[in-house]
Amino acid sequence: MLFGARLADGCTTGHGLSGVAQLGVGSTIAVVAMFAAGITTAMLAFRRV
Amino acid sequence: MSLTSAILIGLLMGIVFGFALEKSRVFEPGMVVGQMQLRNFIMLKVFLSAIATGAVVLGVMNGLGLVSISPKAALYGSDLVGGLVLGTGITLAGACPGTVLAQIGAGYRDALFTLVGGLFGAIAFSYAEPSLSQTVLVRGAGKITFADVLGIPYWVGGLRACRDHHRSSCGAGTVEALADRTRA
Repeated sequence: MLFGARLADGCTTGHGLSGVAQLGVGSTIAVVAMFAAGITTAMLAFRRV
Repeated sequence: MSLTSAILIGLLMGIVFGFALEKSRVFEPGMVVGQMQLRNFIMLKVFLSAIATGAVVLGVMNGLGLVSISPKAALYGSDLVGGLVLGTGITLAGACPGTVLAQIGAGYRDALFTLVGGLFGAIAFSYAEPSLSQTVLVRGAGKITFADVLGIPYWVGGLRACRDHHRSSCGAGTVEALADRTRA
């Protein structure tokens, strides 16, 4: 979790809330990637509901 | 700003943020995982509302000349790969780097282990950084914002983003309805 946050230079709050509110291009890419990987992981790792 | 006032403002903002996070219940592991499983969309909606609120507050303050904005540099490779790693970790741990602290504050004992694991990840990154900084990951375009891309001042873009919040929330609602119908 924090490996990714340091690689992306920001976490859910830093990129997601602060970065996107400031309309940062890189922050928006990071947030889209976060949700994409999160949803994919949930589909692969957890039982379907 | 002096160091003392910076620390005091930081503490105050942290308390406000933690309080709002607890009241929204978005810090709960089930809430985070439920969002990623597309079972409930509360996290996304709270997230979008927080961004819209931030955009309008910053937009007004920036327009009045009270604050300047400090966006992060766009490092396309790092943002993409780091975002993917972070997203995977968020789903597996049921916590973001911020919500893990709220979980500890709310008394979830296992969140302590999430935090320790995260710190190990941060240490691992320090070891990996010298070799990663040689790669394509660090290539980027500097501190650009969508307002720069459109050639408008930040405060116009910020207020426009807030206006579009209604539309993006409706979008989230549509995806939610679709996910519900797929399951049914």
